[in-house]
Amino acid sequence: MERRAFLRKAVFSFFSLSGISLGVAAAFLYPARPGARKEQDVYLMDEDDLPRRGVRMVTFSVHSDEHDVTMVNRVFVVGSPEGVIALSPVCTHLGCFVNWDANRKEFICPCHGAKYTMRGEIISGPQPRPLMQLPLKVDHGKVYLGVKV
Amino acid sequence: MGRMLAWLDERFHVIKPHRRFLQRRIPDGLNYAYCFGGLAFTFFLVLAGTGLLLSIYYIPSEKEAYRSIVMINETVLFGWLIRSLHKWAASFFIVSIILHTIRVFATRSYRPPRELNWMVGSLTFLVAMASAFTGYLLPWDQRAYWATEVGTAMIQTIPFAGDALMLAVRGSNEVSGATLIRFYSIHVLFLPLCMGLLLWMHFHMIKRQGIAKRL
Repeated sequence: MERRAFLRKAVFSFFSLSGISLGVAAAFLYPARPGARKEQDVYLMDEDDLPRRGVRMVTFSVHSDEHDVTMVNRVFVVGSPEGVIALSPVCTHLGCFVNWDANRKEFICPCHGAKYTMRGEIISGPQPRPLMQLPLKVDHGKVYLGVKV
Repeated sequence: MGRMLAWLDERFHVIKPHRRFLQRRIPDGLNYAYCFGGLAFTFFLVLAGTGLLLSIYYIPSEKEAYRSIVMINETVLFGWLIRSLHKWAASFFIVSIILHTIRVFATRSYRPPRELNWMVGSLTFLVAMASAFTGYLLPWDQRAYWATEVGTAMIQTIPFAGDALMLAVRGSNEVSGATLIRFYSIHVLFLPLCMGLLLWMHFHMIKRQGIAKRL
């Protein structure tokens, strides 16, 4: 083989190999798809303690087997003539935790002033969606909350 | 390819200064035994590249080190490939250095005026061995743990300073999480930095003095 032809091939192989390596490196660096989160029922309170009229903030903890950590979370349990619901405290704008303002009867987000009604509907602010409702289950006098872990 | 280079050269005149070290004269009668040094450097580049990638997923903590290794092997795309490349390149790196040393010794290339390059090369070997030793602990499995337990216990036999030196290496009385993070830092920061400096010296000296003529 001629010297020039050999060099041309060598340079070509070098850049091909580098290209393949870069592809493998990129695939390696791309984060693994996290497994689908499983819904889990977490005990919240006894049925007798459910608020008939008003909002109660309840703190609960869930254990994630995948990451081996216990996370402490909170949820708003809202009682009204329409029934009892559980509202996620996460503002649908950028994910801050909203506070319940008992005087105004509104949920107010401290970050950008998003306001929600007692049942989580939008009053005003930058949020695109109402507060998320979480499933509540009553079983033998105990109230369970469905959360995805 | 040629046109891209011409475009670059037209603006930055890159060809002429590079010709000086890309087109060097080498003595007659060289054979493949003279390739071991370059081979070792190639393995070093592979180690540096794959090591950078592994450091993205590896967690140097007592609780999570082994789990992160398992994750690299089983969950991460091409994780097994990158880790195997790192492991095998490390072994071949050491082997190449030894073969390179034998070649230099056999052709008596260590003699003046190249004695300083021989010394720097010897230091390179020590740094490579230290990298191998510190890297061996990082999987944090039984083999890694006991190898380090025994390896660091040897330091204790040094007269007078033995106990103090061993404590300095281990960071605690036994091989523990403190040792792990110590070895990790040495493995990915201190030693590669030393290695880069030493290789820079090694290559500059060979560039100045040229390859020794065969005997």
